[in-house]
Amino acid sequence: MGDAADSAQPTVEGVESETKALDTAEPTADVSPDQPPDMDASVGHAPTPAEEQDSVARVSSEVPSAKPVVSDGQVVPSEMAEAADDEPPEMAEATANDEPPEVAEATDKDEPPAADADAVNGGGNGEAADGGTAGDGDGRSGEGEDGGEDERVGEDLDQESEGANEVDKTPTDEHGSPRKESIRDRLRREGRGRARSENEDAAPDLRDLDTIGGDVKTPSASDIHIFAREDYPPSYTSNTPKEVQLIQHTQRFLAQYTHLYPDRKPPCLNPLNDCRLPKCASTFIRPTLLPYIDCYDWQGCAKFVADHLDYRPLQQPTEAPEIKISPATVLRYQTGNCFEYSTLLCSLLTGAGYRAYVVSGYAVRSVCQKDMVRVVCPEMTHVEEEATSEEAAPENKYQLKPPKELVSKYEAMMEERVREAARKLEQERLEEEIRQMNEHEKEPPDPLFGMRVHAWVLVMPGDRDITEPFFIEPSTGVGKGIRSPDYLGIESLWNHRNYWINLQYCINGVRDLEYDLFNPIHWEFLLLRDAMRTPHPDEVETDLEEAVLDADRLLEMPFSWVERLQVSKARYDERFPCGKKVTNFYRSKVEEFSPYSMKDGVVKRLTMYEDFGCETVVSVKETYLHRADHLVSREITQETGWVEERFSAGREDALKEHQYAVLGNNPEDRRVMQYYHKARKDCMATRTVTEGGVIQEDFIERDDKLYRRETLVGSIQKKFGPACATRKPIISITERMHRNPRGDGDDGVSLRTFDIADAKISVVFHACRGKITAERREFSKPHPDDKARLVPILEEAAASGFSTDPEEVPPRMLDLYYMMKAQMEDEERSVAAVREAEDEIIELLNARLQEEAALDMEYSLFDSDLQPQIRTDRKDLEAFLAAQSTRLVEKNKDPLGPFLARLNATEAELTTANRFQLRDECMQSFRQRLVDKANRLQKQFEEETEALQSRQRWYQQNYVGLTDEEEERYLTFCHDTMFRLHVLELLLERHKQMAPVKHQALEMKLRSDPRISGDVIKEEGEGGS
Amino acid sequence: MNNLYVGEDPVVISHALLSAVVLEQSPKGEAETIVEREPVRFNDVKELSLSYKRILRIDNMWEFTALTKLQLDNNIIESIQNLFYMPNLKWLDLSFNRIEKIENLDQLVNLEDLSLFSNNISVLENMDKQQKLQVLSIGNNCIEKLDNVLYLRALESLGSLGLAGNPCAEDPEYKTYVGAFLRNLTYLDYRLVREEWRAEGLKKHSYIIEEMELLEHRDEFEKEKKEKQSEQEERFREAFVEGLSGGQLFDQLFEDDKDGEHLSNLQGADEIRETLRGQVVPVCKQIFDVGIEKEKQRAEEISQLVKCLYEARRADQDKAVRLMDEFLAEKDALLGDIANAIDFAEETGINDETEESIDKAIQIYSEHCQKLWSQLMGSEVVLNDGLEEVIQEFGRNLTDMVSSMLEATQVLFAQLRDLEAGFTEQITELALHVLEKVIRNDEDVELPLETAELFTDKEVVMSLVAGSHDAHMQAIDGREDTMTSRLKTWLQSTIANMLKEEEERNRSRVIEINHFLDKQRDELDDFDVPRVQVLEDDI
Repeated sequence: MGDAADSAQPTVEGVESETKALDTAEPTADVSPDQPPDMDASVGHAPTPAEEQDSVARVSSEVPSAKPVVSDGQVVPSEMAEAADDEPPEMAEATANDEPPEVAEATDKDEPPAADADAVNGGGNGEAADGGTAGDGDGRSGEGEDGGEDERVGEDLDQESEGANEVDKTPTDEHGSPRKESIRDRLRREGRGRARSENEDAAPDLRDLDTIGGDVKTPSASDIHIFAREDYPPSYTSNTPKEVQLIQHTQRFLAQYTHLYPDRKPPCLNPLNDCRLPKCASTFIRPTLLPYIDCYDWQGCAKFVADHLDYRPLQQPTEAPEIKISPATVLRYQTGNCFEYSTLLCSLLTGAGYRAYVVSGYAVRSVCQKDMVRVVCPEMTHVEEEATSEEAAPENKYQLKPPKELVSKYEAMMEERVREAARKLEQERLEEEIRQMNEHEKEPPDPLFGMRVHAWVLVMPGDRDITEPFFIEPSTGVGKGIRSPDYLGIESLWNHRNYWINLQYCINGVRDLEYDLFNPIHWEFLLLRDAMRTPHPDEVETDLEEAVLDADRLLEMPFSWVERLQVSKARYDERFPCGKKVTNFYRSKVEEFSPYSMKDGVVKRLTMYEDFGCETVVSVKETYLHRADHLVSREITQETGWVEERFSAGREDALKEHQYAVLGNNPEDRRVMQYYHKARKDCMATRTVTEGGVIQEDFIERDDKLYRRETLVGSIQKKFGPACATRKPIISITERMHRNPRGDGDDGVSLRTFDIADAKISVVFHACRGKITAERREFSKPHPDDKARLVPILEEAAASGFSTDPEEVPPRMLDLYYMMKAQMEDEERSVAAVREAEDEIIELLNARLQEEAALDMEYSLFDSDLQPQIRTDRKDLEAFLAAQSTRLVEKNKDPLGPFLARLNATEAELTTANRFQLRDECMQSFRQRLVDKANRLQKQFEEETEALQSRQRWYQQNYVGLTDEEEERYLTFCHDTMFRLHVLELLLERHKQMAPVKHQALEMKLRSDPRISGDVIKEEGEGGS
Repeated sequence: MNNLYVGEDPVVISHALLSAVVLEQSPKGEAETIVEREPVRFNDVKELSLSYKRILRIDNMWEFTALTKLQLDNNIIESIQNLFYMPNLKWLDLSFNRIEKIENLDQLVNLEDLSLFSNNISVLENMDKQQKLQVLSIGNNCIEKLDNVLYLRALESLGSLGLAGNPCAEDPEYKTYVGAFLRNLTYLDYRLVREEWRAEGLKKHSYIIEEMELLEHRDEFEKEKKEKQSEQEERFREAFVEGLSGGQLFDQLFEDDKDGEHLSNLQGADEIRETLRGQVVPVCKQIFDVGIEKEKQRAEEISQLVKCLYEARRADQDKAVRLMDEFLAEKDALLGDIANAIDFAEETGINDETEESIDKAIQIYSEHCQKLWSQLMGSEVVLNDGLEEVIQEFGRNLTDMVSSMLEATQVLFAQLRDLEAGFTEQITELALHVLEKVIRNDEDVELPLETAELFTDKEVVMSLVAGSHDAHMQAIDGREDTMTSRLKTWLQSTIANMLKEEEERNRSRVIEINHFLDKQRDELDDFDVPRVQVLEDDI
């Protein structure tokens, strides 16, 4: 051990120089000023805050021998001391959470004296004294620690101290030695080594280090903390007895843990919640199944969480946050760090029936910072996968032998050699290129490699048809393999039932970890009961063990204190925070928008770049939703200016795809139009316009078997005179037909060309089955008036054609004539079709222009919340309902209220006399009201009658000289008044009828009222005694 | 009306008459010019009208095989004859003649419209083959009885019937009767058949109609059943195990067994026979199963071969078509080159140089032709060799299959023989036992007289037994032989057919290729190649 100390000497200098450098470079890194309050709080019995401060200060300033620093009854390994320089919070946490008595007991009681001495002596000057104080903790023995375990711990301590000495010098030694090594230990060493090598001169703050790679993000909800304490439900601000019990248990657990693994950072078992109240990590998980179909599968959940929240990297990249915000609050503010992401995702997955766990561990920088710049966009890889699906036909027993190849093998070999060499060169060149590119795009080395804390989700097999465990990265929503190199280690994991600590080494990242959580060698659980409840392979043992278990240990994880997780439909549909999300991928950028949020209906824009720096755009692909013109996506290739637009079914012109050049608004420009052929009368699937005036149309499943028509259109002949809208001449039309499927010998025409410019028609028929030669005919079209030309033409056709029959009879003129006639008729039809096609192209272009100019959205029936009209209707309806409910409330008004208030006494204080008085008053007032109402009605009736009578009198006096108009007015007045009188009469009548009923009802109500009858008070009195 | 032409001489259908008619009825307009130049061939004519020609006898029309419509109305024809060479005929008009009997229409299976209006027909008959007949016009005839209509029930397609003018149409029940009995009829005398008529008729004749329908149904059912059975039998026949699925072979054993008949009269013979039956039938079933299974294997084998042949031929065909298309694409340019060379020669005057260039162009074209020919023929030869090889291989496999089936069945047939031998032994024992009893004059022996006569001598009895045994053996051997010989014949013919088919394909393809290339080369003859005059130099 002494040797070890000696051997450590040279490296200590290095540490010293480094720490000095750190100190000089960054004075604020000095921990001491921040520490005292926390330490004070936890370390009640040990030295004064001043001493504490002193020791830490000493550690940070001197670090003379890199020995384990034993202070205040707790062992601070050398790493810890070292870490104190740059990791103040950890130190704080360590000191705050560690349970001194345990450690003290361990070191004091069972540790071999030599080791003890070594540990203490090794500490050198000041620490030795502190080691002595550690021994003071004697007598506070733990509950159930057995000797063997303690011994092991002692050894561990021992070795750790030794290892600590060697740490910096010989990291490779560790692999060979059979000693325990914590994950952090190794990872930190590696990270440190790298950091040291690269930051020899300047050692900036850790936060600054982190910000080198990415931009600084605004703080997360946990930092903002908008809500006041009072705004949270009581479950947030107080602990139930069960929770208190649990926290006590976790503290004991932590004590044992820190005892056993003093060098490992204690797990954040009890993080602070929204209201800064410590809660068990497991109770942060609130299993919830969101009422949306997507959220029934893990992909949907993960995608939702990744989409819905705004990711914030941890403030301290190497520390787990002390404060965690509950998933309910996270959902409200749509922002969170990896822990909050994982907790939310785990809640949703557990709610959906998955066996999900939150994992706390270490990951690489790109994952921690959600840096996707080196990840290929999943959208881009998707397309390639679709193309590769072919089915191989079963092998036939009989195969034709391939014909013998009469080629020199030697020559072939020589050629192959030459080719091989060329290929090799080419490959080398390519490799070199790729290497250079990789070099250029390589991630800069991470000084904090292996120290970056991250949280993600583990899904275990067993439920929901999951057969193999896998990870989900919550920030991106992507599933990852269990051996993913992105994750470097696991500290602990938990679900809503229990908490497990990883006891395995993470030398190879997470590659070799076992996930059998019931194996106590690999995983240490927090709650035995919950660990046992899940199906165990050895069911037999459970009975036995249950008998042994004492009640205390059967502690159960309390139900989550978190509020119900709710996402409204509107919120869910909105999907992204503020309706927009931008992600940078490898050479590409994805912008996503909520449906209806953008005017042109775009929901996703994928921009692909040529270079890593994302400067030169290669192509832009936009996806649309709910467009009135049924546009689904548009892809623009920047270099060629080629645009590909896709449409969903439902357009009037059945357009499916339209490809054209950006500036191609001229009908003659190159373009490809694809159609939904089943929706078209002419069964056209594709129409291609190529430069040079070629229109090619492809048809599918046409009755006349036509499948392709190619038209060559010439240019307009320039003529003198007024410009008239003549159409371009068609030079030729070529049509291809399928074979007649009937197979009755008459297979019809295979290919025919109408050479309109030369007035010729050539026809090639389908070859008969089994034949290779086909009949051909060529006609020169006769002029309709020139009968004399007909026979020579037919003769020529007969001669020029080819007939398949060797013993041919010269074809009959008459047959040829009919054939020619039929073809000429078809030609007319084809020309008409081509003209129509030309019109249609122009029409389409106009339609598209108009549609683009007047962007219009089509609201889906199911998105009623978003449709303005429906939304206002809904609001009116809601207002109406609200009004209704207030009226109802008024109806249910307390009749006693005002009198009770007048009485100036609370309900409990009412005496019997008071009660009678109350009732009488109430009844009296009600009676009065009834009478008043009757009087009011009566009075109104009388007034009306009087008015009518006076008017009638007036009329009788003056009716002789009245104008028609006045008479008319008088009659209207009479009519109206009579009507009002009638109504009043009815009301009065009704009032008379209803008054006794109402009176009785009130009386009944008052009688049954507890305040009048006094039942409540009685009961309460009984309850109290 | 039929006497319209009485008193004038009847006309015989002659070539001149036919030519005149055909010319008269040939297309008009533009096409007329063509017809003038090119006489119409009789066997191309689709429609012909010979109305009002005073024809007495249908004859001399055997050239008109393509006819679909023939009008022979308003003649003095007395009987339907000589129409059998017009199988495509759809429309036949024989109205206004003197026909007395419907006959000789059996070959005209495609007939859809038959008009026999105004003749002397008294019975509806001889139209069973006209299942496609839709319209029958037989008004103004001498059909007396209404129940003639019943004959038309067999014509399922018949939709329109003209019967007016016959004595039977006077019957007050005429419409209802026809409507009720001809369910498929839509029009009667060119009027829609009303539902009321039908209903009324049905009410009146319901009993008869039901009975008829019942009978018809039964016939149909029987027919179907028979068809099914024969189909199945055909399948078993293909598997060469017909009559082995049940006890047919066993029954056959005792069918021609005269000697055995006597023996079977013995007491106890029936039991022995039944035991044998119980043993033989399962063995037969085994043979049957083996046969069916092997048949399936063979079918699979054949289908694989057919697929292979089809694919190979298809690939070759595609390749050949591609080669020819390539050639045709170049052809025009090459021919154009020759034409240009000739033009040039004519323009500049003929000399050795121009001649050389012409020859060169022609040479190039010929070379192209030659190249195409060798390519096509080469691939054809390779294909033919390959296919023949495949077929040979298939033949070997099929032979193996057949022999394995024969081996399997041989064992089973041997079992049958053993069973039969055991049976004979038992019968012998029984017979001798009975004989003993007869000789002892036991009371309990009861035999028919004939048999009793035979049971006097041991030798006679033994010969009876031996005869029966031989007959049984013969039946078994016969069955086995038929199977073996048929199987072998089938095997040979199958392979031979395959080879023959391939050979034929090969030949026709070779002819096709050569024909095509000959045509291509012939096109060179169209050029009038100017030559330098060499004759003069010789002189």
